[in-house]
Amino acid sequence: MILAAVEIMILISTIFGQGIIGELVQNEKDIVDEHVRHRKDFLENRMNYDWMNLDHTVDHINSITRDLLDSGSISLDTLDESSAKSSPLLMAAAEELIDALRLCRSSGVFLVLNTGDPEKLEDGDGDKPGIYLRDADPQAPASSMNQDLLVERGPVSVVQELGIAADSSWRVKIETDEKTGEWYEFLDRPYRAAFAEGDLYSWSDLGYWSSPYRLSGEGKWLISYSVPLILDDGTVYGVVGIDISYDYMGMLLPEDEISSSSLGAYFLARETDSSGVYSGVFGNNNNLNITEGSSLSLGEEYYYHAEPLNIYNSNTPFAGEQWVLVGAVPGGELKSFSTHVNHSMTIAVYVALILGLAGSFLTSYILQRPLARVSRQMRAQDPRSAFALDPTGIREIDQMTEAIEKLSQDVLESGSKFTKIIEMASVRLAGFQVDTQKGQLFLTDYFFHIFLLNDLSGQKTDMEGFKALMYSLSRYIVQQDDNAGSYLYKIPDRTAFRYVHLRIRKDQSSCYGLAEDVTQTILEKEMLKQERDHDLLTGLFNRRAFKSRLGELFEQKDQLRRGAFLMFDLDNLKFINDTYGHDYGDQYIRSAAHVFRDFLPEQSVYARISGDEFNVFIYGFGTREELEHHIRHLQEGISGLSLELPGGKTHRIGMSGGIAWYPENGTSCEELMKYADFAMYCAKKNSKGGIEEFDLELFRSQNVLMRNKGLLSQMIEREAVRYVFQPIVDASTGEVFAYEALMRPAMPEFRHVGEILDAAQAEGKLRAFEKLTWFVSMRTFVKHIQAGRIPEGCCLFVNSIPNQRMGAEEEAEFAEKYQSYMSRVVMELTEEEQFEQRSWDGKQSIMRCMGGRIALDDYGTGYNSEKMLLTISPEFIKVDMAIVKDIHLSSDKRSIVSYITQFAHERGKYIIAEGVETWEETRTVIDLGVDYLQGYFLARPQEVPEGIPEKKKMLIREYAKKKK
Amino acid sequence: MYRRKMTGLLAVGLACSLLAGCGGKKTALDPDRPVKVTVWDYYTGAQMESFHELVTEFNRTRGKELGIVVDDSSEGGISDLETNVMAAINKEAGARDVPNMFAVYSDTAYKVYQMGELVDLSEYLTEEERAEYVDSYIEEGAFDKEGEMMLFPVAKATEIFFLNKTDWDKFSRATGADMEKLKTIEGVAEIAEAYYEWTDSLTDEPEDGKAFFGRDSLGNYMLSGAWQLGGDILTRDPSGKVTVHFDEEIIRKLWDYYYVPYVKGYFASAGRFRSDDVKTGSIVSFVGSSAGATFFPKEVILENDESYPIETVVMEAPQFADNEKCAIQQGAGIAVTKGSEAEIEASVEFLKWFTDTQQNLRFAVASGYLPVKKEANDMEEIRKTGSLSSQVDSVMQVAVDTMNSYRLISVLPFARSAEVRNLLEDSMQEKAETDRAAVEAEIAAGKSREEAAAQYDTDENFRSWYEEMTAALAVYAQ
Repeated sequence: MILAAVEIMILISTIFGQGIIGELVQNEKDIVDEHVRHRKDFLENRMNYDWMNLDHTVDHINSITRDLLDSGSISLDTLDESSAKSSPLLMAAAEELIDALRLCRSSGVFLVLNTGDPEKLEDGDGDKPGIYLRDADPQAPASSMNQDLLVERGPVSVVQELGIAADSSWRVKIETDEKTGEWYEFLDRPYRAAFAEGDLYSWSDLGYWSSPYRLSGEGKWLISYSVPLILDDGTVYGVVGIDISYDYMGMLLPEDEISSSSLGAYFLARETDSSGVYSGVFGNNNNLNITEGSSLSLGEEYYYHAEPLNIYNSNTPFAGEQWVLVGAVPGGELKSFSTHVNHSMTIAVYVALILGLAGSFLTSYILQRPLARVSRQMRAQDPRSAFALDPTGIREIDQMTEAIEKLSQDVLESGSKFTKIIEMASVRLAGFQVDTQKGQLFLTDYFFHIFLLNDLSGQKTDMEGFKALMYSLSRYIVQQDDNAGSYLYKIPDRTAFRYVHLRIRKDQSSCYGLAEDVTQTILEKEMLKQERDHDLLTGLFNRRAFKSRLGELFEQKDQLRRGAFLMFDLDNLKFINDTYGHDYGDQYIRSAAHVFRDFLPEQSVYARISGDEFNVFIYGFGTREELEHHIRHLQEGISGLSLELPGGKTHRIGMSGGIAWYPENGTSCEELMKYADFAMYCAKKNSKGGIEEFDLELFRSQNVLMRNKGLLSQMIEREAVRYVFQPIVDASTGEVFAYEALMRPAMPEFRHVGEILDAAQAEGKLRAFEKLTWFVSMRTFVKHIQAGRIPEGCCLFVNSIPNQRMGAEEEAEFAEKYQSYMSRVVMELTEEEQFEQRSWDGKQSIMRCMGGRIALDDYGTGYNSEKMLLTISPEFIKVDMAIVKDIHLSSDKRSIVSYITQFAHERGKYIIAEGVETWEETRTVIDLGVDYLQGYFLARPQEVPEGIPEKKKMLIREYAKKKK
Repeated sequence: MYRRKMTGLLAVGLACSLLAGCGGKKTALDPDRPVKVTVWDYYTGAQMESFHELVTEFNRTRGKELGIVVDDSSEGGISDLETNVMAAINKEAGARDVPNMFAVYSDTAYKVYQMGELVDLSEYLTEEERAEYVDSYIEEGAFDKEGEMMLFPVAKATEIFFLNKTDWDKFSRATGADMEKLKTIEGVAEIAEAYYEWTDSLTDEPEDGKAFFGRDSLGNYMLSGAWQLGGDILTRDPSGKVTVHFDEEIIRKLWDYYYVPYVKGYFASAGRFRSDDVKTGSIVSFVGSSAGATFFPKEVILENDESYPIETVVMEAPQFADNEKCAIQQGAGIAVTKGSEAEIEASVEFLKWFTDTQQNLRFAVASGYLPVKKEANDMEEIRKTGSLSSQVDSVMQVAVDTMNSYRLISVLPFARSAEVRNLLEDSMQEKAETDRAAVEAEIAAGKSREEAAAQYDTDENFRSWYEEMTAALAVYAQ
């Protein structure tokens, strides 16, 4: 009820309080003003451009007059004396006047001849010869025979010869005004002005708009515009002009556009003396009674708006006469709309008030009470059990309460359904909700099972109990992110652990939690990490993990104190492999690995870097002696190693090693590695099985890199590389999908591409190397396509240095040159330790911009493959050979590939299995769903690319088909 | 259920519309959304002003009530009007839209009617309404079928004889001329010759006699004269076929009483209308339309700028002696062109209002036209308007008498009747003007008047013109 009253108050205050009624009246006034303005523009145009446009007429009449004067047909002395004396001129000018009449579209045209001094006028001298023609309907088209015209004034000869009927009020001469006994203003004013000041002004400045007049005998009220006729010598000999009848003006000023009643009006008024008093000139409404030039008084009951008409040039004799167009509308008419609105609104407000009150009364009585009862009942209900509500007797509300009852039941059912579904999930899930306002707690069934608190199940837990339990569990939290509401619990489970991930979301009134048993995932992750970081054969760190670990150590150099970097190379591995087979070779390696595990102090990092190469870093000791002690200990261990060979023979395991001291030899990991390598190289050269220390002198004298310096520039300049191509094959059809371009040095000084790369890095020529890569590989590729050696549509994989970009100009040149091939280019990136986000982003976007795609190389052995995956979001993921090798024998490897394949396919990416060397491996990766295959099994890299042997294609095709 | 409801609703709706159809008059007019209709006329001067004033009054009163706005436009002369209407109908370049109404003589109306542009107004007026109009005016609008109404009569005129009594009296006093003679065509010719002789005798200057008489319409003279002499120029047989009769004997008589006095200088024409010639003192009498009453002069203005007031006499138009009297019934009707129902209805409403006795009389008195309703064609009624000048009063008196007592004839409408009318109008007049100019030139060159005129007053001259005329008419004859 209050609402209804407020609404009405607002309505009333909006309409009456804010002056809308007043605005409506103002609006009406504005509309009138606007109309008057437009009408004034229109009229001003007609006046200035039609009616005052007498230039042509004046010129012609002047020239006719001159000719007649020259020929003696007329004389200026007698010109205005009689019709006979003037008729040669009048007859000659008649056609000109008719033309003017047609052109100006005025209601009349006239020419009056007069030559005397106006000041010396005598009685009876007032009548002047002339012609005055009338077109009563200037808006109708002109009659071909001028049958629409009448002669008002003119000599007999004109009436007889023009063929224009004489009006009943026709006279020969232009008489004086009956009313005043003086000349009509149209003759008098311009003539006098010209006579007095003709030498100061041009004839057009002396044009004059007259006040209203009537010709004797003719009923029409007229206003006229006339200009003096002046000969070149300054003689004034008459006036010529046009008139506008009231009827005609009335048509041009339609009062109904400003007034719907017949009481509004347009009128013209004129201020003759700058006094501010206007006299009415023309009005088209009889009620205003201003038609006869009476001075203008409208009384207050009229609203009027005046617009000045700009018809006289300033500084001309008549410029002081200001004409205005006035629009007048009865005040009552202006207000009629607003009054009407006022009345309607008042009635509307009353009606709204009454209806509103009645409505509120009814609502409160009939609706509100039963509704209140239902809502009370509902508040009292326990939402966790079904409930019933009392019927209200109002059908709609009862339908609603029934729906609510049904809904509560449904909610309960769906709640238990949800719990069941959670139970069925393969991963153990549990959830809770705490309503902090109501102090209510909701738990899924067996909530605490997930936390291995099985004995608590079945018990009703209250809020306090729940909090206490959760608090007690917090000791198991191993990882937490309070901002994200994410907690990882590691809970002892007999011999192992259970990992539970709890996610918590809070809103204003509730706290929700979802606990998830992530043991499997965590274990898989750890296993992956283990596999990623460790050498499968020996269980030692691999190169990747070793580098990573050293990177961490070298970031905190103070804990390094003194250290030693050792590099070992197994002697005679090749001999074992070749003589006893790989199994013994593997055994040989494994045995060597044991030495590191057993004989190195805790403060050391060691890894198998490649086939027969091991790296060791010992650190954290105060003196060289301590280090040397441990190294000796290791040496002893090594010297005790032997491998049992078939036939009871044993083979001593020997290693050559090099030592670089930290910080004496170098402080960076790279330096130490380089120097240890050099030392080992020396040891190997000198005598197998020994360990030598780094000798800087020796190193300097034999610096390989220094030696290669000039060569690299030479190589880049000559582009002394060649490319070989290894096919990448579609795993379902066996057809070549793409080729990987692999660089080979074309100078004997470099043995393999790694050496070039090292040299480029050392000399800071990576950019040039990158450019070399792109341009040469692409050029070769295109050459092969053009030669038909690579089928159309094949893609090209190019290995690019991740942190390196070509120059912008080079990129542009490349894009332009190979634009048509760009959609086939795939940029292969290997992850790098020193990850530079900016150059990555740049590389990626330029590649995508050019239309190329991106592949992530060496997946599974790289430094941080997952992060790379997320960062560069490649279209292709190449699973490293290390994972593919013997994949049919390792379920772990299969899991990794299966996992990455699923990951890729869900995101529209493709998996390429690298390094497939056997049919078994091929078959297995096809089973695991990889998309493409690459490896020796299919084809080796070749200078002249070849396809895949038909037999192998068929094998793959058949197998893929069967699998489906 | 639903369907039954609908059927019921339909039945009710149908009943309502039927009832409305029977009971109330259905109209396409709506006062809130006025329809604008145009009317083109050929009025000038006082006639135009009066017509425009009535149109304005209609728009302010009856038109506002019904939702009609009439826009009138004066197109100059009747020939301009016809040209403009035909241009509009033929959609010529630059032409305006066809007007909803236009003033038109029956012959031109017939042409437009044949083009299928006119509305038959008979269904817009009841029998009773139509009976209020003078029968012959209504009949004029039935072009091909009885009961059709292709023309709405609005104003009629006939020919009357006008005399400058002031100058006649001078002449009559000097020569004893009898005004009775002016009742016959033969008498007018005789008087005209005597007037020329008398005026010539007033000065020493030879051959400066003045003309006495003029005619505004030669077409009317030809048609009515021939009819009086017993040979209608145009006849229509019951099958509707129109025949042109150009009887040599009859035509010769018409020639003798116009062409011959004209070349001799007894008759004349100078300005556009003969009333102008009276004003300028060129002639003292003429036969012209009663509708020219407002143009009849009250003074004569001479070339030397002098003027004198004149008294005037209006008489019935002179007839050929000893024949049945007839008078031309003329004055355009208003035709309504095809358009929307609202436009046609609006046009008819305007015409009914305009020809209603009150308004029609006001127009008649101001213009010299005669009203078209029977009850208005009565001097008693006409004088009731109270604003008659004595001159208009006598014009009206004579015109009403003529209309009521003479046999009224009008141009028979048929496909080429407009051309025939123009030919009759212009041919003899133009020949007379040309030959008179030649005669005057010869007199100025020293020939005597008799000598100069005699070359034209010959059988050969007549025959050559007659044959030319017959050939021309044959082209138009159906």
